[in-house]
Amino acid sequence: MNHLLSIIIFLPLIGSLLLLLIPSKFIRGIRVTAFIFSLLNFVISLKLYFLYSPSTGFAFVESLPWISAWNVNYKIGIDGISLLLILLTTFTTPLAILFSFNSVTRREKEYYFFLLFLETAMVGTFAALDLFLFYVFWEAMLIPMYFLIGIWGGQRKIYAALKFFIYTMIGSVLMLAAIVILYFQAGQSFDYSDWIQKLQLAPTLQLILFSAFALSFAIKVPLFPFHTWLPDAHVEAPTAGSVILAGILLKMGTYGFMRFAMPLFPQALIQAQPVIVTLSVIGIVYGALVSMVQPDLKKLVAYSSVSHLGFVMLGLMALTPQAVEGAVYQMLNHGISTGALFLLVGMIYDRRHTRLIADFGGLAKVMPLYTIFFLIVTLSSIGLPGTNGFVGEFLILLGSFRMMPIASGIAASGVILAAVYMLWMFQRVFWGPLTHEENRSLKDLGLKEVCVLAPFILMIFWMGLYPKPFFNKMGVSVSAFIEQVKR
Amino acid sequence: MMTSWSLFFFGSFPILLLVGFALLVMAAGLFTKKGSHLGLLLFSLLGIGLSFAVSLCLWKLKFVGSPNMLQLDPFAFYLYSIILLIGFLTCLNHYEYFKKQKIDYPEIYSLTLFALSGMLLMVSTTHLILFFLALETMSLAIYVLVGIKRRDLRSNEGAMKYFILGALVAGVFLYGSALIYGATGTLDLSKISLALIPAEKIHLFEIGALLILVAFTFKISAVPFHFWTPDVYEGAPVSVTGFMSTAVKATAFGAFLRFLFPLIPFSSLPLFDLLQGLSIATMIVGNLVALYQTNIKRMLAYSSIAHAGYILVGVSATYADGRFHPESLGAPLFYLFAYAVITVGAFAVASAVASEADDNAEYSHYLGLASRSPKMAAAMTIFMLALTGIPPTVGFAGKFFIFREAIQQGLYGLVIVGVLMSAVSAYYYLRVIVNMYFGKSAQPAPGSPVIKWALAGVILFCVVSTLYMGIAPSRYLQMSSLSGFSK
Repeated sequence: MNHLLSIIIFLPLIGSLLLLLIPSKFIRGIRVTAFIFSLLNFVISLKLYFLYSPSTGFAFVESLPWISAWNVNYKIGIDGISLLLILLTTFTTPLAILFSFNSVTRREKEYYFFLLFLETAMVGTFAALDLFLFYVFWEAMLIPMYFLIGIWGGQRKIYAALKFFIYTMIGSVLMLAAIVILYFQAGQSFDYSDWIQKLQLAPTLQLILFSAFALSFAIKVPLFPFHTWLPDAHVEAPTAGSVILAGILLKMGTYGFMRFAMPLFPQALIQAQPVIVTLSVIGIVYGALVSMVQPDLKKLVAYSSVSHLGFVMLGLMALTPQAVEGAVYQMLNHGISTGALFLLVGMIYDRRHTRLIADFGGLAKVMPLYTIFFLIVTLSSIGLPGTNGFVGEFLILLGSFRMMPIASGIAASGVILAAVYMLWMFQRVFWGPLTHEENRSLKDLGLKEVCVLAPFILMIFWMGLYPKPFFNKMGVSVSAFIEQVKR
Repeated sequence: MMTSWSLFFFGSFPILLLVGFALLVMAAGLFTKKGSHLGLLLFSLLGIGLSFAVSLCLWKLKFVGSPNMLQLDPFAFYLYSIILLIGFLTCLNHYEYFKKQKIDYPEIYSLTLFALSGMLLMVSTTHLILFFLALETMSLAIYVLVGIKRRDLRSNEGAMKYFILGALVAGVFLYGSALIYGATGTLDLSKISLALIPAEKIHLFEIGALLILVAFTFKISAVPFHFWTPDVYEGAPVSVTGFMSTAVKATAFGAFLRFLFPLIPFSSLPLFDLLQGLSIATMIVGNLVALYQTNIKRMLAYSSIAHAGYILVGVSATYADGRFHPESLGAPLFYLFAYAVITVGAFAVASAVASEADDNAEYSHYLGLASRSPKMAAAMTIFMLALTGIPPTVGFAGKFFIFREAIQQGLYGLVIVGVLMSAVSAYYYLRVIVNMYFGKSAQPAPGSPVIKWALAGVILFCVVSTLYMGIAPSRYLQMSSLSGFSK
């Protein structure tokens, strides 16, 4: 059996345990070890990318009995969709770690321990094909994120961390109950493939169970009106935490819809579709409008996530190949653009210790390099043709227009609003005269910061200009997904 | 073929050994130097170890049966192991805690051994008179242990409250026994059959059953008979509180499970519905009131009430619809084990943190513990997460087992209340973590708590088993599932 996937899941965990053995005095050793492990994981996951040949069903499947009394198996495997999300995870983590070298100066051993632990949980969640295993990874993600926000966060970190934890937990415990009910319905099996094949549920039961799953994922996405934890968590989290939270953790919600909530309960989905579409569209517009009035850069980016994820949900609900492919693509895009935006905001925060837009202005004069990077990422977030954002949003709108013209019509206004809030923000921060004395002495980006940002910029253009390698890998899985949902 | 009397003789050996050692330790206490209890500790550990070894031998040699008034079955031996394990760890806790508090009573050990002997007897008999004797042996020893800090007002208050209420409940139990005897003509519950209860005396039997139920509800501290718990837990020395919330709970629940077997099917009262109601009330009250505690011991007291509620879900599943489901019996049994391991560990940390002058264990004592004593904070974190029920700890496995059985028996309402209340419980368990990691002490740091080998061993053991039994629970699940009782 090929253990490649298991290695990618557990290598960061091994790294994190290794960190515990290094005395806290050797800060350099701790940093380097954490970075090497996450980088190594990225390299190995590239191998996964090249070895994966698109086909229906799952590849790299590993299955071992775990808790035999309950028929729980350690079963993992990937398809084109989870492959790309795993790559996003392994791509983002080393960069988040590299960025933290400068900005985290307290309790570094624990910090990198939690980051690596989080990577294991995230990759595991994307790879799990046994629902018990999935739940274990899903809940295990909570702990490191809770600590990352709580220890290294901002002023209201305790409130934000608790809110994040309890919000997510309420959703996931109901999902746990639903999982156990399905387990008995499927003849005491947690196996995902079994569930897809065997489950024959009465309509009412389907709707109830769908609601339990959907609630848990909707909180994570976050779908309007379950988004209130997100601005708090994002704003209070340390930069690397925000990057991972926005870049990857939010994708858990949309991934959960794709992998579990939608294919498992096709009939319930038909009933719930209008509701979810409405909420997504509200989220798109609401998120954009609220972003527009934010005085705080980080909060602005946080609310823009609500808007962007609304697009992803809209694409998923449209259930046309274009729209779903666009949705998956947009998941990756959002991870890259928003991840980069949070990094950029973090860099300026580390210099000025403020994130208020009003405290800046005319930065283009003192930080030309920073301005260029920020501009590229802004344009990608707006969805300018030639950048990654364009491809995803265009496909989503194109694919969903035929199915639901009104919804996608309103959603299209979100693209315009995005241009408004992002460009307006950009204008206020970078153009105009230098009004604040403190800003005159700001240093431009250093080499390390450029190294952190360059991969993101590269991906923005690559995914905008030549998306074929990504669509190649996901095409078959997307059509398999649509087939399952429409059965 | 073993005669009934010799089986009785050998079968009571584990209990007799404990009594013997209790007397020896008490006598030896007269001759030990003031303040040096190491010998007494080792002697008590030896007694507990021997008792465990003997019961293991009896089990291996298949000394199984119901000689005279004893019930020697897998159920009894399973609970023996839990109780003796807790006793072993508790003695180690006592040693360090009382030394630190400068309380110099050698009787502590012999009282603990007496209590243990009563506990073993309680879980291995269905004879009402013998049970009463066992109950009093246990309770009297614990009344004294609670009040052993003679000069401490709270300790006195706790002991007094516990004694008065306990005596009242003993009376209630006796009254119930008398009624049952009057109705059936037998004192041995396992010998009761429907034929023995004349139709005109069924009411006597039912009232008796109800009274016995009340007595048990008191001992397991279920709502509405829980009011004594917080005060007694707060007043008692920390190591004694740990002993009470685990060993007494395991014993009372064990005996409860055994007693319900004849009581539930033979009475026309809706005892099963009553059980469900108790369970819901206990989970809700325990968890909600725990939110408002500012004292760790009181929080743990309400948490122990809440956990009694979860175990009651398991008990309800075992007796779903008024019938006995032996296949579900494993769930409450496994939970008792899981809860014991976690809670003993949590109290071990609490007793280490309890400062010499002030034994109140306020939340504020935990401020900044992570920087003063990172290992202890990490251990406490694991215990708190396990009590919340986060995977991969044994707390999750236990809760999962209980909810699994409840869903199998169709008790959806109980499960929904249960999972939602676990999400609520996250709040107060996480507050401990918040204080340890995120908070800073306002006063000058009280210095890092010093622990010696005994307490370090207990904490290490509990951490390892909390994690190990959570990651690889198969063996323990099987063990608890096979520990049914003979009818």
